[in-house]
This record gives sequence, structure tokens and C-alpha cells, in this order.
Amino acid sequence: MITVNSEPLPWHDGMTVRDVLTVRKYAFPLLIVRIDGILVPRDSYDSAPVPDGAVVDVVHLMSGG
Amino acid sequence: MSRETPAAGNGDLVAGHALLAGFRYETRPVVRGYNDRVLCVDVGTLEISEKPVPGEMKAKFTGGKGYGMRLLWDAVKPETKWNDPENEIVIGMGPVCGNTNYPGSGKSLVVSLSPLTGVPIDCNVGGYFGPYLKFSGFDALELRGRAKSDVIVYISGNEGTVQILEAGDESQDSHLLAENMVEIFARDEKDRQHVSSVSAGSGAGNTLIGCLNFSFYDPRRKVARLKQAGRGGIGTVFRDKRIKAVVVRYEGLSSSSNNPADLPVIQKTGLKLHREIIAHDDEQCRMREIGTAHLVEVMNDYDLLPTHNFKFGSHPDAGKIDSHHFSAMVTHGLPDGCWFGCTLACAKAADGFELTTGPYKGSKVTVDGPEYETVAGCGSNIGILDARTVMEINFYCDTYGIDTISFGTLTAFCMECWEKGILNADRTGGLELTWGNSDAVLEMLHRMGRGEGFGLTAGQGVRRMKAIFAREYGADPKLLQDIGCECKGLEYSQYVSKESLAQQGGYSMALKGPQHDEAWLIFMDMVNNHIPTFEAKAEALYYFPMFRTWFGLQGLCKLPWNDIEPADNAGTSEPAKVPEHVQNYVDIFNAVTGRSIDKDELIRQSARVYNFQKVLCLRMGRGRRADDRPPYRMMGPVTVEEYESRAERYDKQLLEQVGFDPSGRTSEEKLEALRKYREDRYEKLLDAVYKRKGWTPAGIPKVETLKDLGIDYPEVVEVVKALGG
Ligand code: SF4
Repeated sequence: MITVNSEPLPWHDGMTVRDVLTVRKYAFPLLIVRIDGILVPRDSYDSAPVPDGAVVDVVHLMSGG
Repeated sequence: MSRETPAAGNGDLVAGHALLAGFRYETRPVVRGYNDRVLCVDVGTLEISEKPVPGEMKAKFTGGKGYGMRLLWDAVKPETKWNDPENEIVIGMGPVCGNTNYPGSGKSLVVSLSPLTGVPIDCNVGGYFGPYLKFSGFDALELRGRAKSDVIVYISGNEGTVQILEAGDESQDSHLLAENMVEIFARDEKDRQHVSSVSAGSGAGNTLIGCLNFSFYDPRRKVARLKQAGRGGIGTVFRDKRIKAVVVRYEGLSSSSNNPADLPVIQKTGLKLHREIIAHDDEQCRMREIGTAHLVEVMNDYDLLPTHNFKFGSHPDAGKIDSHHFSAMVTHGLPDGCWFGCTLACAKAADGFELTTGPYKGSKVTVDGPEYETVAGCGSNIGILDARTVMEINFYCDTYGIDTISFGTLTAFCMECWEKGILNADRTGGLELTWGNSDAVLEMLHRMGRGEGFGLTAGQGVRRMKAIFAREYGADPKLLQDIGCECKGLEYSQYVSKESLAQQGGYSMALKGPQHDEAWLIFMDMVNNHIPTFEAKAEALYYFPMFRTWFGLQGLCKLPWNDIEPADNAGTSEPAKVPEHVQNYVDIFNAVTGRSIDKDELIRQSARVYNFQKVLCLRMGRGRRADDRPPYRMMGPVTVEEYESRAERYDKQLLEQVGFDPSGRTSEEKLEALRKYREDRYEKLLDAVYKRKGWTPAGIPKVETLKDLGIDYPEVVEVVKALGG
């Protein structure tokens, strides 16, 4: 199990940041992702691994009128 | 300085129009972003004058919306109504306005007493009018009075003349009128870009939701395009004054027209942002491709896209109105900035769009937009999942001078009233206002344009319709209050705020009414869970409204602040504020004006105007705590249908947050328990936000708050003292 924005999410082997974003339907482009407080660069979401028990922060910035 | 005011009706003709009054002023360059004078035009008495901006006004109100609020306060009395001649429309620019070096620096701020709310409304609008007026010699324009018949106000910025002309038989609808003004006042083809007009279409005069159209001539498309000062019915005030158009002609724009104190700093800061936009926009918000419409699919994914009068936050067919459909319709590859130098270039337009209904059926036109709000309001919220129809509604709203946001929200309200049997074909004059009935929606819009039948009723806005439906059709006032999505009299803009308490506050505490431009906190609150406590929400509801007010003081567009972000923004301590861009704004302001503010003073500049506006609302008899409460539809599920559509979410909240076990309970019981909890939390939020703002629990600014901000003028203190502030 991991925690994403204070909510639990089941973990699976090989889980990446992209998997987390897909499961949570986080489609917004202006995201900041931190795993256990460490910033994950945007261009490595597809490959960045998420370990079991991780605390994942997916910060959505703002946009629009 | 010389003045001349020709006698009215002396037979002079200007561009084929009878001259009613004229005024000559001394042209002189802008100094460090300011002219320090205001142009006043009374279309009733035909007096035209100029007045200096006192040093105190410049120091405390900064410009733009700040000037608008100060001038409006001085013009009106507590009993003034929107359609009294003394109500003014003030168009203010601000010191940074007209800069061509930094993206998004060409906005005008329009202020007036709103027909919908009775309090000041302010709109931030693009187009060339404001910057041209500024370089013609004025920091603001006050329009007052009511003409006997339609007039055109013409400012010739290079000659230094202002004229009031009798209007001719030009079409009132803005797509034609704006073209007409270019034809009349431009000297030749090349000169067309030097002419900009403000107008409001036929629908603005027939409804209370009229918008103003600010034009900018697009030499590549060879058409006068339109940007809207949309909210609150300023177009209605404009037509009530019988102003057909206000036109400015100015030639001679340069990158240093503001005569800034330090041009190289502005150029350097602008260049940095230009590069950032070019490097990152494609992978961030695609503003250059499709503008704010990129948000449609995002909002649908997050259950925030208003659907069927804000009942739901997504629609299974929302893909039919996603940004890709609009991207396929607009013309790409053109520099679509609504002012020179805006590389974010989000002012998209579809060309050769063939209209299928209404008075211009069969015409091929250029349609500006649509922006996200229009797609959501005139699309999903009324069940129209067809991009072409949304485009057609967008075109007609604009040319008729009708605010697309209010139109969408009030149409959604009518449709829910139809669904509940409050409206029927007898009552709507045959319009079957069922979800998604695009023929009926377009026909209702055309009736607003023609001033006919149910178009007139709907054009009164949601608040007045609620009263009419209760009085004449015996509808339950409590139900109407719950489902009528307005606050203070203004229709909500297009985000579902049910699951974000902070956004409920951001909407309903907004001084002018529920427009998202004070604070948009849904992600920060609902998705990120970053502001869980009342105090944290209150802090956000202090900072963001203050920060966002500042754009309106300067003549700036908000979009280049956070619709594009620097590559290293994620690593900063407060990425939601985009600290590098905040510093850009501080640097630009200082470089234009020669002053030396920091980011804290930036917030204080806004706080002065914000609190002054609040007191002006109180002076007009509104702005109390009761005025800051939303309809329940914006806070939670009103109906069993809504509850059951998201039952898992609500049941979980009842169990975990409310301490109410939903098992074995009816949906009605669960609805009631959830409502009590949410309404109670909203009251606590009001307490926390008022406290943070330095207001009493009744929502009245305290005298010490006004003193601290340096706006404890006797007339301001008198208002708050009488209310216990
Ligand atoms: S970002 Fe868009 S709305 Fe803002 S100034 Fe640029 S073109 Fe105009």
C-alpha cells in the first residue's frame, strides 16, 4: 500500500509514477510529484519506480482564467 | 492646453455623423506608465472634460481597477441604481498596461455598478482599446449620463480630440459594428490596426447580462476581432446610456510607449518569459494551440466539469467537446495575442465558420474562442455535447453582447426547472428547454437578441427568475434557492465546487459575485489536500484574491502567471505561487514606474483596493455575511439523484468525517446529515477568512484594518463604523 495525497492506494510490483497518475486519473499537465519528499522530474514519470509504502505527493498547480 | 466645445447640433459632420460635442486636449507622452489624468464623458449633458489624478489616488489605488473603484465611489451615492445616469462605466488601464515586452500586458479594467448585483463589478479584458486610450493621454475613461438617442464617442489620440457623435444606422451587433467603426475611422487599409472600439450588441440592451466587446483588428484575417468584458452586465449599462460605441484611434505604438524608467529590465524579463513559453507551452497547457479550452477534458477527468446545472462533474460524452474538437476548428499558425507581444497567444479563432441559425444564417464568420468557461457553460452544463453548436452559441452571445457564462448558467437553471415541471412550453413560448436541446437554446438566445418573449425573462438572470417562478408559477422558493446557481445576483462561473470547501469560499466570498478570478483553489484543496485546516484555507483565501487583484491594478493578464511555469518551478518552496513569475511582476512594475516595491508591497497594493471595494459594496447596502453564502447546489448534493450518483464518496464522508453511519439510512436522511455538516463547515470557513482579512464576524472591515492599509478616509470609516467595523 502507498499513500497518494493523503489517501491510500494499493501498490503493485514495478509500479511507476505514471501508473499512479493513471490509476488516480491525474491528467492535468502542471504536476509536481514527490516520492517521500524527493522531487521526481517530469520527464521520468514513465520510468520512476514507486516503492511499497511510499508517500507520494502529486501537487496540482493552477491554470485557467 | 486649449479647449473647444462646439455647440451641439451645429451641423458639423464627422465621418458622416452629426457632431454633438467636441473637446480638444493637449497630447503629451506617458511618463513612467502614467498620464496622471482621466477623461470624463457625460453622454447626457454632452460635457467632455479632463481631470488630474491626485497624488493620493495614484499612491493608494495604483491604477486600473483601483482607479475604477475610486472614481465610481465618487460618482455614485448609496441609493444609486445601475440605470441611474450617475452610474459610471470606468475603463482604467494601469501603469504596466500597453507594455509590449512582457506577455499579457494589454488589459483594460472595466468597473460599473452591476444590473445583476447592485454592487461594483469589474472585468479584465483584452483588445487594443485600453492601451490605445492610454497612449492617447488618459489613465482612465469615465462614461456617465444617458444620451437621448444613440451616440458614438470618438477619441482621436494623435490629434488630441474627443467627440460625441450622433450614431447612424450601423448594425448594433458587435461583429458588424466593430468592422463598421474600423471602416469609418481608419484612414486606409494600413490604418485599420490603429482603430479599436468598445460596443455591446442588441442582446445587451434586452437583458441584464450584457457584455462589452473590445475590438482588435487582425490584419492577417482582415477582420475586427472581439474580446469580452463579460461579467455582471456592463454591456447592459452601456446600452442603457445609449452608447453605441466608444472608438479610439492611435498611431505610434512602440516598445517604449510607456516611457518606462528602465526599459532594458523589462525587455530582459520579457525575453526570459518568451523563451519559457516557446520551450514549455506545448508540454504544459497548450495555450498557443487552443487556449483555456484545454481544461475541458481535465475538468471532466477530475469530476469538476459542470454538467446539467452543476448536478454532476463529468459527462460520459464530454469527449465530444474536448479541446481537440475546437483545435480542429480554429486556424493555427497565426500570432493570436489579444495585445502585442503576447507569445502565450491564447486568443484563438475559427475562420469561415458557417452559421446555421439566426439573423446571420448562412454567413461565414470569424468566431473568437471558445474559452473553457464557454465550452463548459454552453456545453456540458446544458447537456450540449456538440462542439459546432457551442461555437455557434459563442458567436451569437458575443455579437449580441451577452455574457456566455451567465447565459450558460441561467440556461442550465431553466432546463432543471423544465425537468422539475416548473417550466413548460406554455411558459417558455414553445421553447422545449430539455437538456441538450440545441435548437431551443439557440432560439432562446435569438429571442434575447430580438428582445422577445421568454428571452426577456431568462435575460433577467437566475436571481430574478427565481422570484418570478415562485411568484407566478408557485414554485418552491427553497428548491429554487438550492438549484439557482447565483450568489449576490451573479451567475456562477463554470467549476463544480461541491468537494472543495475553499473553492466554495473562493466563489461566494468574491466581492463582485461568484467568478473564479479571485481564487481558484480546487486542486490545492480537494486534490492535493494541502490546505486541510480552516486556517490554511483562510490563508489561501487571503493570499490568492490579493495577488490576483494586482493584475487588475496594472492592466495585466493573469494567464502568463500560472498557465506557463519555469522549468525549475517544482523545486521552489511555494510552486503554486510560481515565485519566479511573481518576481518578474515586481521587477516589471519597478522598471516601468521607477518605484521600488517588493512582493509584500505588491500584496498591500491589492489589499487597499480590495478592502476599498468591499466597503463600497457595504455602502451600496450589500456585502454582508448573508451575501457570502452559496446556494446549496455549489456545496453539496441537493437531490437524491445527485447523492446516489456519487453515493460511495458521500457515504464514506458521512462515516469518516461526519460520524454518521449511512448503513440502513434512506438517501433523504443521508442528504440531510451531509448538508448539515457542510453548511456548518462553511460558516466556520467564513469566520476564519473574515478573521484573516481583518474583518468582523459580520464581514465588515475593521477600522484598524483600513488604518493599517492607509485607506481610513472619513467617508470609508463612516460606512464601516455604522456597521460595527
Ligand atoms: S494570454 Fe491570452 S488572454 Fe492573456 S494577453 Fe495573452 S492572448 Fe490575451
